[in-house]
Amino acid sequence: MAVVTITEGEFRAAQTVFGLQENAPGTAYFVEAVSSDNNYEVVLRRAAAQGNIEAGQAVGASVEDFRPEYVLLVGTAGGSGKDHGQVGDVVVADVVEYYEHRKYVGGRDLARRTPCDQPSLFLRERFVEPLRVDGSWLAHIPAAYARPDPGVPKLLIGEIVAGEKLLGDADNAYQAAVMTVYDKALAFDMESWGIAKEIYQHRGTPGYNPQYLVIRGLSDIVSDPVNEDQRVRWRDYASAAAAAVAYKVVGVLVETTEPEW
Amino acid sequence: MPRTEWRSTQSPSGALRQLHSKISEGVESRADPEPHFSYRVAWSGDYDLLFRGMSSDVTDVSELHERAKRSGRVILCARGGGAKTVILHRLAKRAFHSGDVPVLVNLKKWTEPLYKRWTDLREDGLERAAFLMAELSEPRIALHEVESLPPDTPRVILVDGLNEVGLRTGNSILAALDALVRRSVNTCTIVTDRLVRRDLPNADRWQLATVQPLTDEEIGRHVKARFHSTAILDDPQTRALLATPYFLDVLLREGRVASSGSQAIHDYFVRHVSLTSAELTSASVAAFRAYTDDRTRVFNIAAFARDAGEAVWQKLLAAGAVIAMNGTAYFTHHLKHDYLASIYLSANQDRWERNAFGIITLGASSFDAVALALEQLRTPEDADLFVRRVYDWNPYAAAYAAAEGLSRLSVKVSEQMQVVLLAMLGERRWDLIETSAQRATDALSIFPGADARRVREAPSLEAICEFLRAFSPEPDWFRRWRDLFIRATGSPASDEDLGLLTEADSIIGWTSANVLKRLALTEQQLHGLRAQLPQADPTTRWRVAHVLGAFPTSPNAALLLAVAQDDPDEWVRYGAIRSLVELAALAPSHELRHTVFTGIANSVTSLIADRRRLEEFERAIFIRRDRSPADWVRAAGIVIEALYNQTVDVDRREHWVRLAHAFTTKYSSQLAM
Repeated sequence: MAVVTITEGEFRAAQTVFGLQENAPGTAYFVEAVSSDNNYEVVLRRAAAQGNIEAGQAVGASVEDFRPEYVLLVGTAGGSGKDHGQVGDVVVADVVEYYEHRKYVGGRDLARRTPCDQPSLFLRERFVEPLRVDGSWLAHIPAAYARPDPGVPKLLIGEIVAGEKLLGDADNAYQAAVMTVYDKALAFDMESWGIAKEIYQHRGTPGYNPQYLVIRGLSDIVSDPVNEDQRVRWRDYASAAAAAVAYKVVGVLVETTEPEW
Repeated sequence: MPRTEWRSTQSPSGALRQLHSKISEGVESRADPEPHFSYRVAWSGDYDLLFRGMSSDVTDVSELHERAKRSGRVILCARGGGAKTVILHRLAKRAFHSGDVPVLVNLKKWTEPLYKRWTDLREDGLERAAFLMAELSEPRIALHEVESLPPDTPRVILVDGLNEVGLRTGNSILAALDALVRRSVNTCTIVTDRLVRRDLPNADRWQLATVQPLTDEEIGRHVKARFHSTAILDDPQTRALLATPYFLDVLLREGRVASSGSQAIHDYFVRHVSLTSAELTSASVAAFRAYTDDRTRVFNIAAFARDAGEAVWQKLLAAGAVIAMNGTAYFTHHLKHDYLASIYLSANQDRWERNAFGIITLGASSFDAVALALEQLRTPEDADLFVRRVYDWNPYAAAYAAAEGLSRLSVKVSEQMQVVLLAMLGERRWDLIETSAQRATDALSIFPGADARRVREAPSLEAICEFLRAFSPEPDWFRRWRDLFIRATGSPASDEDLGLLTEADSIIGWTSANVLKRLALTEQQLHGLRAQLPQADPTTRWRVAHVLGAFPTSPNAALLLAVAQDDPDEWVRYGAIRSLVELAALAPSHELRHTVFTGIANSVTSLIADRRRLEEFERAIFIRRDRSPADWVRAAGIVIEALYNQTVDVDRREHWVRLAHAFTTKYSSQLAM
């Protein structure tokens, strides 16, 4: 299994929650303990920077190096405020959309679509949905990651929309247009499409069937007037909450034997 | 890092058995040429080290496959005749016998119609890799056949002759192979190429190796076995020539010592193919025309036979110099075709121009024909003139041709001309545009001798001028050139200096353009240049555009914007776009920079339609980081955004996103400001 994070804070949170402290020498990967045969149950790495391209590159490298059956993109995103999503909650994508491909012609704004993979139904139904109901993931948020305000985070499942811009200005016309078009989106980020596209491209080979999930802690609400302050206050906790969900999914997967087809 | 091998519990499938028998036939039918030479390869961490001849270790060729398995991708570089193909065939056999599945892709069989089909294929999928295998693998193996194998069967895609296709196509082939290795289970690739710096996708995952010259011991062993004496190796020129496997092989087969590479191939055509002098001439015309018409190593037999004469064609065929297939053919070694074409080029001074150079090098991919032509020029005057003309077209090609000949001690280029070449390349080391500086350093790196090293390592332009002062100021042309080149930076330019831009002598003309950029020009002189530009011939217009880029004023920007878009000559437009970027980088204010890039963005439709200009723009915006203005990303970024917005095709859009990404990453510290 490969876990990919983007920011330093997301990486540290995942490293703490998963206990993956050892660096495989000469690589970007962190593992529980270095092994000579290069086989690991879980590897963790950071993308080089924010953005769909970097996320895709990190996922592509992980796939080439380990051929993981499962890839999890874990970190933070801006929430839309829909479905009662609040800062500190975690959103797991059931669908990933990309809002940047558009054509402006004759006064019209037309969406353009490119193929990409969608998050794993198998992982969502078998592993995420039970967590949403039983809340067992909450126990894995490290105490060191204190919640800025009282409350209990929720696990939501819904649409995540990706682009190349960090949305955070309620008055911005482009952001408003994006939120209008994707009126059901629970979160916005800058990397989900990168993993969706990269995993799609690895479907060109028969015999390899990678499954992926996007797990995002809400560090802010994009249309909140105090968005920037919010993000600064909540990003560490949101990172840890997302990592806790990922950890629980991975834990169950590792414990579970391979499904019999 | 070593990549984890994919494990599967599947037993070998029928697909594997079927493929096994097909590959077995192909691999076993290729006999290793006799006598059997021992080759070694040197490993370099990157192109900088490779060009400097610096390696971490030297190994046997079998290590190529081992490292490819570990990192996925290896490029094997060598000069022409360096035994790349032989090595690749050995690797195929070795891989096959160790249970891997080797697929040989022969780019020498690339034909002109394939260019169109290649560019029509999507850039980001495996379509292009599948196309390469479907069209050019030997034996013919489809990608899906390989992908149907059990996942634990290692596959190695051996691609021979990246330099056999145009530079741009070569780079996109590397991208296709990179995608294949990334996506296909248990797959690695080894690609042979010339000493050419490539834009490597996933650069840190490629391993670079260079075929080493044959050792004196190896040469001596074979020479002794053939001639029962090694006396011929007392001649340093012969020894230098025989370090190249192709020429040692020719010697052992033909039994005659040649004075140069071109002489060795000449002997082959005369003695082995039995061509008369007149027939050689007609074959050379046909060979040149074949490159002109087909732009590939594969040519049309009917056209060749028509140009060369049926008798010549039959002789070539009977002697085994060419391989025919379905109405087309190719020479058994590209040096044979290159040599014939080079006879035509060296004999026709009026063809020493960029168009012919582009033809004979397959679009600046392979410079052997230029080097062979240079070897055939008998006088220093001719050799110098040829080098000047080649330099005008492509400085790297001039350096390669001169360096190749000098290392074989077989060219007549004068010492003065060598110095001119070195100094002009040396000045480019400080070019604002990074790729220009890098190419110059690469060219200097392949040049043999202490002078080249001195120029390559000179700490400043002044140090190069100092180096030039040590040479005797003779003959007159050299003194004139040197006096011009060593003009002190910032000193006033005279009207006479400006007049040199129209010089027919390209060395003086271009040196004056370069020197004027570092002199002080008055506004009146700049006005004079601007006024001169519309009426001048294309070469002068290009030189003037080149100079104006160094003087960041609004009138210069306005004129260059107009020239970049409207000049009828594509090289002038090319020069103007480059100068515009330079002018913008040097501009003292954001406003002028903004004016330049807004101007380019406003004419982005014409930029997209003009491929050479567009590619130069993409290269030029990557200026040296230490000289980039603080607002460089913000200013130049608007053009990339305009290119993106103007593009409908999703693949091309992705291209602009990636360019924007590379651009912003390079100057990322600006974004934090």
